[in-house]
Amino acid sequence: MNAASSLKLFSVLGTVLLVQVLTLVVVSSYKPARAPLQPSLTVLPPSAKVDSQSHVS
Amino acid sequence: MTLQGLFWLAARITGLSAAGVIGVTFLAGIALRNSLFSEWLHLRELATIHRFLTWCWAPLIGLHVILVVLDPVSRVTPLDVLVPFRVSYAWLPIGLGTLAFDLLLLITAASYMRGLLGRTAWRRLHRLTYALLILVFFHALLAGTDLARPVVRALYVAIATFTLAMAAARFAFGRLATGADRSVRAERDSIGRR
Repeated sequence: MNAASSLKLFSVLGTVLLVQVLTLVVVSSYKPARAPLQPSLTVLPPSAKVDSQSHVS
Repeated sequence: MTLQGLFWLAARITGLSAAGVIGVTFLAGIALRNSLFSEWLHLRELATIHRFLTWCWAPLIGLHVILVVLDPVSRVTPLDVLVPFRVSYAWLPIGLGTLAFDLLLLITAASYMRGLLGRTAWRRLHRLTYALLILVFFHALLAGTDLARPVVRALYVAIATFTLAMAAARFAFGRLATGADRSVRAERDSIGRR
């Protein structure tokens, strides 16, 4: 293998190595989005009547 | 991991890698015509690396652009890839990236059409690489949070430091003349003598 071919091979290998290192760095910093909380909302039928009371002391 | 999460991660990896390889390509290019290194650098080999590295960063840049367009969260359209500052979200970091991409296309096209453009026009266009590197650096700095990671920061700081040192050496010690430069100079001298 001549010098030019060796340099081209090392350029490709260096690029692949850089991509691998950066993949490790970026993936290790990945934080999955937190799962949404269970909604504590109760959907009432339209006919339902809600009485609310507030107490102020 | 969702598909859009995968697109986002892959876009970051390809973008960071492409910036690193472009930085090394720039360093090889600036060292190529630097009088300071003419004694101990093999210029032919350096020229081979400088030219061949295009085949290393071009696929990474292509993937980076495609993945950013495919990622629905980034909201970048195919037109935004070419026309800068059109996006509503993160317009400055993304706009700098678009400008860098346009410059990269121009410089690469000019390099492949060097014979058609002529040496002077090509050299003037090739000097836009300095602006390109500044744009790439600020795009990477502002568009993501990855530069906060020590490994990524070390890589970028190393490339930026070497680039500044090489550029300073180039301005201080002058540009190394090519064979074509010498023949143009000899022709001018012979005309001057007549």
